[in-house]
Amino acid sequence: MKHSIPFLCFRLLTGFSAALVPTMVCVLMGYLLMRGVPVMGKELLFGSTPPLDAVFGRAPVWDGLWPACVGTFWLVVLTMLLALFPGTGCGIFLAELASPLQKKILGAAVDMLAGMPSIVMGLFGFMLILLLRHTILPDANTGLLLAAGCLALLVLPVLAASTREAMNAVPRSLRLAAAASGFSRSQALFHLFLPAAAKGILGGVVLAVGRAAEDTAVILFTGVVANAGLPAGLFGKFEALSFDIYYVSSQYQNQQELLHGFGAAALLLGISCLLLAIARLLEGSFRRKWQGKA
Amino acid sequence: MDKLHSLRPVLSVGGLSVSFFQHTVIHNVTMDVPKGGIAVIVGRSGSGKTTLLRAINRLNEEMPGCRTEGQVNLLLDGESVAVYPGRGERSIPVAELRRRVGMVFQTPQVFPVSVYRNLAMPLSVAMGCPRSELDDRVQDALRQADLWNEVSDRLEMPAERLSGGQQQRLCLARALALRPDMLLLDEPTASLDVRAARHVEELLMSLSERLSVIMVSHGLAQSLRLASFLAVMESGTLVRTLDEVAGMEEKDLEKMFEGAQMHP
Repeated sequence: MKHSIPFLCFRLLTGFSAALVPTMVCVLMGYLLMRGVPVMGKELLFGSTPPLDAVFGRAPVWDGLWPACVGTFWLVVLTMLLALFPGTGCGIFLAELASPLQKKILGAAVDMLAGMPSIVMGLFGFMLILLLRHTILPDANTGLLLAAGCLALLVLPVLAASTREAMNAVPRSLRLAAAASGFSRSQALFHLFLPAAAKGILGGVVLAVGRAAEDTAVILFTGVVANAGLPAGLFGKFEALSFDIYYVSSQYQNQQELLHGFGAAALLLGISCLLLAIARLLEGSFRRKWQGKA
Repeated sequence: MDKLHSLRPVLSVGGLSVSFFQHTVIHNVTMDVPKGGIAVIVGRSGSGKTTLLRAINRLNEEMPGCRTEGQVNLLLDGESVAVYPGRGERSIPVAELRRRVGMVFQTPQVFPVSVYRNLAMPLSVAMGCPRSELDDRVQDALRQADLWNEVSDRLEMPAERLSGGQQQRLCLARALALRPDMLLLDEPTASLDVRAARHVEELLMSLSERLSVIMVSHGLAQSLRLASFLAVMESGTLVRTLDEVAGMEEKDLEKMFEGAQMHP
């Protein structure tokens, strides 16, 4: 069949666009790994501190990235603990239970929150602490929990929107078949629709984890510091890889320090991939259990 | 007493109208379907036959903007049950109604789980069937749907990998597993090839000997082959019902449609 020239041009452009994404991913990751991997090693993580002492917190790490790795890990875990249920819950409510008016109002709120710049969210957290200091909690200070709370606000709309879309993508035919088989609405939701939408919801979780791990603007105002050691607790200051990368790249004084920044970036990528792999494994085992013989 | 029961209609519809967002889809349908055999509702696309079928198990209510008026009474276990109960009438919870009135759709609607779970899930979740009985009931239903020999060694396989005909028989087995009193079938052979369609038809004929079957069809030949009772729909109204179709030919049915179009 002969195609017209505009169609061929369109096909060429879409093909080019499709190729652009994987190419950019390869270039970015390749460059990062090329610069970061050679400096990877015990020293990058623990400096001159013995690794076991550093891991168990028996000795402080002065010139390694270990505290930042632990800080990022706890930051992401806490953020997800705070945001996962409200985010997915809001998405499920929007898709399954909301009236048209509620959908309109809630949907607009979710979109508005999604469009909020992260620096504003950080500022909000900072102002909250100032308010608390001047009112009921004079000792309140920025820390891990506040940063995680603000990050949770940041990723909330991501989770809500992806859950809503995943639930909306459950075909009407499946809904009718479930109803015709005598499932109540809640039975169908928990045993059929949610598992069927799990992959889409997981997509949102992965995005949220990535966002929480990489965001610097929010934590800048809410408790991250360049040298804090391992996080002292929920209200203590902490280090984070994303902030380390930002700090090193803006303040480096020699090539070695810049390479440390690349090492930190590669580590951050590694942690994100690890969390992604864990999420995929969990989803896979859940899916097998759901689909297979009970 | 038995004779009295056999005379009572298995489905009685009175003044039934269904509309979606104020748009009337079926209007003032009244009919009695006698017990025994397959009752076929026939009509062109858009004539309202699927909506009529879905009014029997209240499935229209799953669609937005649905409004149903009139009465539908079913004979379940020898007792007349009002699907849309008025004051003082015996009502039946909608989930129980749908378990006792099984349904199979036009395109096979298998759940995206294994063959086994497709049957076991409604049994355990919707019906609360004990775990120890699941295996037997699944096997029994698959045998009734003439599917056991084909899937007995592949129960763990995703149901979506079965052929179209097998998927449709799996849906039939899923409905049968709940041991319904009545089966509603919405053009169950429309998406199947001729051989698979004949297989399903034979199955329905044998099933109709022990439970009430109400089926929607737009194929005239199929309707004449299967029906012991025929209801002809056109533009949302019931044009005619026939208690006897023996000796009728397709052209006779076509004439009925043409007559209905001329005198709506």
